[in-house]
Amino acid sequence: MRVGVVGAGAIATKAHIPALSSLEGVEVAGLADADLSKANALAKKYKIAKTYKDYKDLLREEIDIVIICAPSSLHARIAVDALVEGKHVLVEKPLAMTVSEADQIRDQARNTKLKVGVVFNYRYYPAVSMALAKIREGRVGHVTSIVGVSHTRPPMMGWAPSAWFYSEGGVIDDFGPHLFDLTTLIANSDPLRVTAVGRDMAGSMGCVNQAQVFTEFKNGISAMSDVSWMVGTRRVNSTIYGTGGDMFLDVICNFTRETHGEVTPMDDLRYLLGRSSSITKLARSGRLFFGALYYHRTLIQEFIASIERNQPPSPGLDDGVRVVQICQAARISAAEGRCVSIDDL
Amino acid sequence: MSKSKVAVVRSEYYDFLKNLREAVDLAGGIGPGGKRSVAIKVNLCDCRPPETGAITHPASLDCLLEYLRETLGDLPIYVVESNATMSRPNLLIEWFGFTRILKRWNAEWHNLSEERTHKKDINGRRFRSVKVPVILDESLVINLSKLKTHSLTKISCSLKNQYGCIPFSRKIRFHKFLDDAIVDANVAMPPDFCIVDGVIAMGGTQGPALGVPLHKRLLVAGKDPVAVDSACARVMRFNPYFIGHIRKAWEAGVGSRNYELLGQKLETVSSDFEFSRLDHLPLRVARIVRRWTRA
Repeated sequence: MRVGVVGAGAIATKAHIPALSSLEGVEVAGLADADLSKANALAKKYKIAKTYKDYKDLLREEIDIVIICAPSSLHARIAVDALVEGKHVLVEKPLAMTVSEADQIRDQARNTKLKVGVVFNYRYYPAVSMALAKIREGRVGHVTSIVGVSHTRPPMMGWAPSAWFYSEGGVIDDFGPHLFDLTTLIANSDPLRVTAVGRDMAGSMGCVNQAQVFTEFKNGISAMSDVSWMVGTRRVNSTIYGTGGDMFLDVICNFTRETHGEVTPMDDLRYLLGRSSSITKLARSGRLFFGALYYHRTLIQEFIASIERNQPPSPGLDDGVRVVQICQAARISAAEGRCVSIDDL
Repeated sequence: MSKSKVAVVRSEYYDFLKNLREAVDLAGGIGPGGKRSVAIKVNLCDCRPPETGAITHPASLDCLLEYLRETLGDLPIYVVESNATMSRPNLLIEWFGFTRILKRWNAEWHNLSEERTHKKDINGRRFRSVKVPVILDESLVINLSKLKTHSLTKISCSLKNQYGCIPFSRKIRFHKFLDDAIVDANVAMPPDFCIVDGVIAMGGTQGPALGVPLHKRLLVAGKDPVAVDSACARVMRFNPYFIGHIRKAWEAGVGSRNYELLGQKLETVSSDFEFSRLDHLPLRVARIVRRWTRA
């Protein structure tokens, strides 16, 4: 498989290019970035043959897959162009900034019958698949609501201080998509309505850096998602409430905890031991320090496998569209102070 | 002496009727036995939805009623349960959709706590006599219980469900001698046929109401409640001899622990029900201390 990467920023440098370089049978055939010096430096480090200033030149090359790591507002345009050129597309989250952009990608993908995947790498934590299997098995009864938290530091330290993070939706579009994807995955339904509150807790950052997003799904499940750059902690977790108990899913610590009935001291002890054991295992395997970036490799492998087997990729286009719907509705709701119906987008 | 028959079959709620027919046939069938009505004792122990495995699933009752209408014709059918400390079944049958099922199969709801009773002398392990609802004396009693773990008695299947026929509402007062009370209830009001629904069972140590819903896809049936509960205990990986109410019921002659398992093999259906003995230990110690101090 010959892969071209668009964007030589932080996510390409830290996650995609190292993951691609470690995969057998995969060749990074070209790298495009508007800042050619940045692309050249990365190409030199990972022995990538060609670099391009204009991504359209890369799309004309003999490549099978294009991975889009460019700023979020460019995702849709690059994805549509890549599909027109006959390339399969793997897009960093979010798939697009608006539902109409996402629809353009969907239409193009339908016409060309090419695969489109979205980078929701948090899905690949073993705890997520374990929690999903338990929920589908009915261990918490019927799911009624989901309360999720996605707190991280602003993309400043360790990441390129790119201005686009702060101008395009803020935290709702930065870390929100991961949480919204987990929420839709658990709810197993399409979003119906979104109500959001968003604030600039720094005062003059000029974007939403703390938001609470309330999503109602078509199957009656509701979800409250708290996304923030300002709390100062680093956590991605979700508590799933059902008619038969609840389940706490700590994604970063790769840990789940079920509660049924009264919580006893033994339950607390088990929680502490289980969580410590999970963190120790992650630390020993090195995954704790890489966090979710570790799972880009698995995600790219799965995407390539879906192309080879001609199966729809997971997470795929529909997953990406659902998240775009929630993000756009949340931005509108936070700005206008009203409940936004997905059908009105 | 012939062994009691216990049938264990795999089932889901969408094919429950087919599997119920198979299980009942394997276990020897349900006949009116000269009775002029049928009473189905369901389990409505708490306000918990059916998908938690805590109460009788409306789908299983629906299938049982359909089966009984097929086999017994127009015989009056009563669905019964009594009040409990934490439960008012008159509300639960409305809230969880049982009423429309009763209407569909022309069955009647009877709360045993509101029924006419008579005193039955049993000279049991704890009670000299038990108040027995008259409706049970006159009917073929079918015990439709759940496959559950129980924080006090380890398992709660047919024998424990039959204990719910005692019309007295504050049955929590009997928890100090629960095993004996269960046996006495079964001596006074023995079921004629037992069906244990384990499609969605309940595990963990917080049963019978707040445990872990477990999708076990099982259906157990038989005429002998001791045999059925012994088989259920094995399915849940307990030794029936160490489950007080099963051992005591056998000693009291309620049924036999010697049974023939039909349908599925035990190795294929027995599984972990997440009953932590470590969690259960403080409760056991407390009961032993209480018994010791009382003596």
